[in-house]
Amino acid sequence: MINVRQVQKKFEKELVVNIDEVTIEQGTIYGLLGSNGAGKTTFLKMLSGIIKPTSGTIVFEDEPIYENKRLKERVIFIPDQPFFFQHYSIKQLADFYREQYPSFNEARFNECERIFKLDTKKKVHTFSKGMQRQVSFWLALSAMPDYLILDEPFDGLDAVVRKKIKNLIVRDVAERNMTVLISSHNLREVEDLCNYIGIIHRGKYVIHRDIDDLKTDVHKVQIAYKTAPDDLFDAFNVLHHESRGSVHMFIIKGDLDIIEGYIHTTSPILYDILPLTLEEIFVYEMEGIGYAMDHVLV
Amino acid sequence: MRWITSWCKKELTKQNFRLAGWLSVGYFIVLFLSIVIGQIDRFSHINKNPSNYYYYDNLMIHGGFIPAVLLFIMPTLTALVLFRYLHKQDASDFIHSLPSTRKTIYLHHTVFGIFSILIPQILTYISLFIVDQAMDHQNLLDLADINRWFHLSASTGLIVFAVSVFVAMLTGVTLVQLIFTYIFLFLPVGLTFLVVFNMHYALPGLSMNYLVEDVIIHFSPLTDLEHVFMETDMNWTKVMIYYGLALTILVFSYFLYKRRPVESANQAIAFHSLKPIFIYSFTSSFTLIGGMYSGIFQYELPILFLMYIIFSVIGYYISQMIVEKTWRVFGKVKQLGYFFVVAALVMIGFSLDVTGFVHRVPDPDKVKEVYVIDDDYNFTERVNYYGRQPGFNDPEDIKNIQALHEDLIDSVERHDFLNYYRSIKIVYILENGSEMVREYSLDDEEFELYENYHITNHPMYRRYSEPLFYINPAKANKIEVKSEHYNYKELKITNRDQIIELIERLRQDTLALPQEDHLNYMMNYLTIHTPGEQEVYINLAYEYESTLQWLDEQGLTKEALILTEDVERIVITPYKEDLYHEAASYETAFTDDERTIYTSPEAIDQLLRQMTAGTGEPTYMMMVYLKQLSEPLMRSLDETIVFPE
Repeated sequence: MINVRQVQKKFEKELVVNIDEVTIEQGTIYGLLGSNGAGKTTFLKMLSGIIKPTSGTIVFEDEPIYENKRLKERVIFIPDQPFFFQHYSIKQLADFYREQYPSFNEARFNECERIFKLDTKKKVHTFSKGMQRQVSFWLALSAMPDYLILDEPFDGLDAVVRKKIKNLIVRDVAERNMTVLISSHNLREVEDLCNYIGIIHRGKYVIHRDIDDLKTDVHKVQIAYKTAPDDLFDAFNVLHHESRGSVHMFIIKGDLDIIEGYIHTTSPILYDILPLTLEEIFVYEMEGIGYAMDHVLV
Repeated sequence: MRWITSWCKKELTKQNFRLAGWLSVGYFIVLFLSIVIGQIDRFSHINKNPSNYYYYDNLMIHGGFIPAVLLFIMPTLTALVLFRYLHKQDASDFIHSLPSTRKTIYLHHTVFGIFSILIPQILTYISLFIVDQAMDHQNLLDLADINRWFHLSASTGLIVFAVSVFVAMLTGVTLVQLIFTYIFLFLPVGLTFLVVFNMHYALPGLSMNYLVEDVIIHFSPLTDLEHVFMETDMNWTKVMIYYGLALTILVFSYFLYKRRPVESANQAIAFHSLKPIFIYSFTSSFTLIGGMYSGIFQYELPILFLMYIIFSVIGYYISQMIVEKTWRVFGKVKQLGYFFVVAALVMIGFSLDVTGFVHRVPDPDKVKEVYVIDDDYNFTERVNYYGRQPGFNDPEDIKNIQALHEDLIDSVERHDFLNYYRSIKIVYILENGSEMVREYSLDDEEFELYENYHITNHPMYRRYSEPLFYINPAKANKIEVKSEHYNYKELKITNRDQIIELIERLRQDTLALPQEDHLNYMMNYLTIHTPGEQEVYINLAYEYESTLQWLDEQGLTKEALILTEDVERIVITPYKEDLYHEAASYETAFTDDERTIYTSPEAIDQLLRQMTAGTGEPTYMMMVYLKQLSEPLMRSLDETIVFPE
């Protein structure tokens, strides 16, 4: 479990990250969304123990991460631009990881070799960008971390490789209860993978939600009346309302049964309750709190 | 051992070796080729040809230029490549995401750096030791020489490395690290020099040489090169201080490393709080450079202030550009304003001499000794070589010197220090052991004032100014009396009693001699040899009466000195510069009417006693023909010469 409390990070005088409280449970795949410059990378680097928060605490299982060797042996951070030592081959890098991470798993390393099919004796710098990214996943997953922190991990990967990596991640989450944090500026890229979503904007959290809760919680109601009641849905949390003639469209937050029960009492001509895409949910949610979502949903 | 294995990361060390190992290997190759092979070659030469013997036991000198330069380059480069990751954001993020604490990472890099400097030196040490043991070299090398070489190299290398690591922590740019490593090594001397130079404008009497040469130069091995390379005896205290200083800087750098924000990679100044310090220091240094620039070109006072302003503005904006890494810094004027206010206050403070520096003359009762020194270089050399001789300590003399000091205070101008005048230094040694040093540049008029005090004639002055009084007569093993012209006469005295007597006579004469420019030199000089020490050289003059008398008594005069009876003739012609000092040209350029030839012993004697009358504008040329020698000895003479009847 990761617990973040009152964390602030200032670069000189500029406040880049300002988070009140966030808790990420074990086994979660957590999507961290935000536009460029929202503070995602800085937040992830603080979570990885690379940079020190100006104030506040970040604890993993009740231990602070910064300068904590034992804890960091179980945490791996993959930056948006993977870094390798100059002129190292995959094999040499594996030696390095093996020494750094005690849980390094040979069987996993060999398995990845079959999946990624890259020459382990070739220097990593001769590989293409996408291949280098695969190498970083290969090494990270071989180290069997309990926490995997990924900054924009799928940039520059083709669909096949993306799928392979996602499978590997999901398997580790399922088998070992690994916790994964993925940052992205694109919701669609991570929605099929994550079960938790956080959105940060200008260093602050605007949303932190379980996706399943969201999906069962927000509903799109299309409804038509001859004459609509004036106080329609007044008692509910309406995120959005549109009307075209006698047809109304409501986005409503709340329990489905109660909503349906209420609809029956107003005797509409017809009504439909439609599924919402995750994207729509976010657009309406954010609208509700007054944020524009344009750049998170490319 | 367990803690080492748990602490030491083999793969991290391997990575360090890939980065910096080549430097270490290269360094060893250079040391081996230049120093070890150099010694082997030297010994085999000497064994083949023993007359080709030269004794110089400083291995630094034998190694030559390249290892000496490498001693300052190699540790810097090592620190540069080892800590390069701090200055690259991606590398820095990666290293700090690893499950190692900053302590482990720092220790790995610094310990690796230290070893990569020391191992080549240790291997060289071992090789030299083997050479020393295995080769027959007639005691040209011993363990003490090798030890000295090793400790000087190691302490110098480590301090350069430590400074470079320290700078690496302060900056996020490798180029800045490189430049500032050397700036920091120069800083103690450079900054003091600048400050003292500029303080001269306000405080006549300030002694720059004293501060820089006696104190600050030792602070950094880069400015202490002379001592590193020339000293024949190693100063253990200094070596220990260098070791200690290197360690202190490395420990301090560790604390900086712990506090250093990872995100400051690529920033010129890694710590936010250092930025204003950097800007103000840089601006101040530039302002001082402006003052020096103005001094070198001898600008007048208003121009000096203009230079201060111009250079401070330049320095301010350069420092802002370095810090902000952009050209667009011209809008920032607030800090420059603060700087001007403080700088103006400081300048006013110095100009008004708030501490009373300029007019301070110590209380005579508190003065133990005083030295008046008009040849600082040789005085310092003598003191460094032999130790100090007592200075003026008689209350009357001290009072006299204080009167001189007060006269100087009243007469010197602020600008005098800029001119290449003769300088007079007054060093008071006070009862409490502290020193008070003042130095004045004197123009001709002021110098006359100094001469009026006749200090240079004082026996005390002679005692501490002449090497003759520093040597131990009982240690001298040979005195040679030679003559300058083809060694026409040469005498060696090796009898101990004679040596001691002769030195005693020389000392007597020296104390009684008139001022230097009133001496009538002979064509003979004398050297006193003491094993292991520099020889003492004395130009003999007719005024060394007691010495000459002694030579006579011992029956050595004829053998030692060029006398009247040795001269066949003296020819005097007008002086012609374009003929140079070529006897043949002079002989043919003049008719018999223009030339005078003297052959009588009386005339020759009279002329020989005036051979030094050549300090004024040359008017005549004197050619002294010695018997059995074709080439004459030539001297130009000024018009003060008195010709024989």
